[in-house]
Amino acid sequence: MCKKYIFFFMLLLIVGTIQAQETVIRGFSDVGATYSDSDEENSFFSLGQFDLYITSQVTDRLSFVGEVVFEAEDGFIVDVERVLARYQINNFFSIVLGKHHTPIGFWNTAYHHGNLLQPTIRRPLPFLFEDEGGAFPIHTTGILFTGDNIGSLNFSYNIMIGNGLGSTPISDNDKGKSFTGSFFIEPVEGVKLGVSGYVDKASAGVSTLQGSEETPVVLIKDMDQQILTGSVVYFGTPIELITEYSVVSNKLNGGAVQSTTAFYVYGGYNFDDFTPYFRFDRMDYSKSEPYFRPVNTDEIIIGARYDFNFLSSLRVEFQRQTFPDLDVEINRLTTQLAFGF
Amino acid sequence: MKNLRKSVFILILLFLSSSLYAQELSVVINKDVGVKEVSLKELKDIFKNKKKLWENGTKVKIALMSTKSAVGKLTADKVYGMSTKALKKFWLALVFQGKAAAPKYFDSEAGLTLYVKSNAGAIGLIGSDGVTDATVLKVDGKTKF
Repeated sequence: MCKKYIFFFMLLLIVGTIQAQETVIRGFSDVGATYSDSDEENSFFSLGQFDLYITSQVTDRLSFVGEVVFEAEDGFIVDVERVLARYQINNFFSIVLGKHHTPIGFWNTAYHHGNLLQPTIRRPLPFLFEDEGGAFPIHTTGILFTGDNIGSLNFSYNIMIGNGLGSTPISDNDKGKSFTGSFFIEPVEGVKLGVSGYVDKASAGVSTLQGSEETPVVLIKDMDQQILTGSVVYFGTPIELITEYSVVSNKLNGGAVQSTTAFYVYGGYNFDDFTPYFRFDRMDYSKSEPYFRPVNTDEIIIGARYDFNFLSSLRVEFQRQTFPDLDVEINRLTTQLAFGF
Repeated sequence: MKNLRKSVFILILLFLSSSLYAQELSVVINKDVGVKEVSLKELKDIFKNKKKLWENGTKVKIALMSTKSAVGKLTADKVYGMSTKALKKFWLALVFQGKAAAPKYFDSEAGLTLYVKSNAGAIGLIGSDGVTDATVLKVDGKTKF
């Protein structure tokens, strides 16, 4: 009986503290169904990531964001995707510590793990999450210096130093750090133009993306990686447009530079709550690529979404994924109900 | 009789149109912020989270009328240039990116005014006929816009 009262009291204390600190817990998830014409996969119903995110205004200048995702993968696993503590120095400069989405390009900082907020069902090929087979370093743990809406061009910047390739959120495998810089302007409302660069060195012995957990393939020498990305974004009414083009250079110590190009172009047209859209993605690898899995891939998406309200959206997409070197083509028809709460 | 019916009909129409759509907005601000006047562009920047801190170092805390209210709809249109649904999505995206705290929404202008008066750094938008004893921020020299 006493334990019950203590538990109830602690719950009240927590709720009271949450209210005093302006802590908000919200979430996103999605459910869907996919028809596939591939012999390698059956058509399926699916659960998307169950994404909980917590924001808290701790003081006037200090705030916190946490994002935890529960996802289905032979059972359910829990992934802490973002943990950020932000200190606002002034209107143009903040310092953010924690696990971030690496500020490469536009998509990776604008859209996180809540599908509701992104315009299509799947992320573009260059910006797939690491555990979806994505090539880019989507998450980095480190320190970010950032500011936005500066001057008449609404200049914004992100400069990040973080644990690099082969590291974990709690340790780095070598002395080297990754460096990321992204710079955008918004000369006219709704139009964003930006460039970003990522530089890192991966040590010999780091697992590449060519193997698997069961049979890893590791770098035989240290490798330098550079990712340069140009971004053009327009979100107006009725037209939406996002296009990003990246050139990745991976160079083993003493070896030649191996270049990968990755780009996508997304276009949509709003008819009030109904938006038809298309997207084309391409990943084009060097044949001697030392780190990425060099399977050239094209993806065409033609779809439409209907927004019931700001917290729910129904999408239907035709997706054609082509692997030109393997002469393989997979067609899928996917529906998704994405929602927030 | 016909003229009477016409007049009553016109009167009802006038009443409905005025109650459906408050015509002007006023900005109420916590008196300790120390800002007396802004331009309309500056006001829009404040409400779009382009300004995070006041000169005195306090956080800008935004208070808005519910998007279901006439003043809320007018705010979405006049200040944000968006539909109410797009406005809610705008704030959801900003909060989710970790860039902003969500505004506080109120069902009554009295509640919003009380919040602004009681919270350092708070600024809110109400219908111009809802202003009582709050500190009003002038926009381009005017107390309503």
